[in-house]
Amino acid sequence: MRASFNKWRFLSILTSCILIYSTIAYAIMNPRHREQFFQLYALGGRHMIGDYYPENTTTIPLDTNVSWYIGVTNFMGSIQYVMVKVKLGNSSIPPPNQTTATPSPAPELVFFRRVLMDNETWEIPFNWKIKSVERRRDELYISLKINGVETGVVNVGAVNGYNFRLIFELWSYDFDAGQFVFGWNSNGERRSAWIQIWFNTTIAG
Amino acid sequence: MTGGKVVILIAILMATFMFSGGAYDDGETIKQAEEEFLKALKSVKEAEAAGSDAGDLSDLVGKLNRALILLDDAVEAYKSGREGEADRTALQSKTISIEVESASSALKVQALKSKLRLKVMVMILVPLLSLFSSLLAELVYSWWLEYSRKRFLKMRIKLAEGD
Repeated sequence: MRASFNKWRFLSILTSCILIYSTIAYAIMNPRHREQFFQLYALGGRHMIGDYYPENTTTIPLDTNVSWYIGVTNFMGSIQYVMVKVKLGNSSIPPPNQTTATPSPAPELVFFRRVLMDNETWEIPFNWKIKSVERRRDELYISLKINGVETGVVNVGAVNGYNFRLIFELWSYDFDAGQFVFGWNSNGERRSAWIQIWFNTTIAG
Repeated sequence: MTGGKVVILIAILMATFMFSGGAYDDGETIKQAEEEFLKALKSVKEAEAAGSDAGDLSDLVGKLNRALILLDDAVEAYKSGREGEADRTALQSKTISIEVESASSALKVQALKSKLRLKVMVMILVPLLSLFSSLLAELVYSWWLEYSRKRFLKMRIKLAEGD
């Protein structure tokens, strides 16, 4: 005698299968949200961490080429339009505020912008030199040449030429705001990324 | 005669305006190129959200970056006083952006159709697979019951030796 067909057993198996397969289909079609962020970094002239300064000294002589690479990686999960702003600061001008996601008030020298695919890394060759130094009382003021573009004398002085800093800020385009914003929005929170490299200069003679 | 002089003056002014159109441009071409770039970028992001192929999107992003470089060159030329060159370069950038916008719109439509097809396929496959799995499970269970029953029925009482 063969086992009889039990319709209730069959229906419960069918319902379980529908639930299981639906869950699998949903999980495949809706991948899990991962954390969204950007990565910003600076490498020396040999594409490595270190060797940021020529002759291994933070005092940069006039007309000496300095080569860095500024990298941005997009881990936002979508295409992003980003900008890296380069500013010249000193020891008294405040840097960007990570807590309030406020950029530095230091004057902007140059900016670089690009559209990045998700998971794409963009490396900006950053070649610069100090073109001129002028003394105003006890502070030195400098003009720079960055990637072939001259900045003119920047209105940021450092006492005896010590503790200048180049500040690199990452900005991203916010379509709702219709403009670039410092940092990015992730899960309703504003995050930011910036780096700074200190250097000194001296007046010739 | 005075009326005639006014007419001549107006004609000269109009001719000057027509032939020096670029001088009154004031970076307008660059602004338009910038706006077109942003529209194209928005369109590409929409195509991405619709599920377009990453390879196709990568090509469009490459073109957008070319348009961006041209835009930066146009701004540089404009700042240096080379307005003619600035306008030409900005127009090139604008053309690329318009191309990208059109291509990304087509990609978006394609992606939405694919997504709809996939959803319909899933809606058909899930119940079919469930039905097939249930029938298979029922068959296997029935067979196992039958096998257990037959195995039970084949059992013989065996007396222990030595009794």
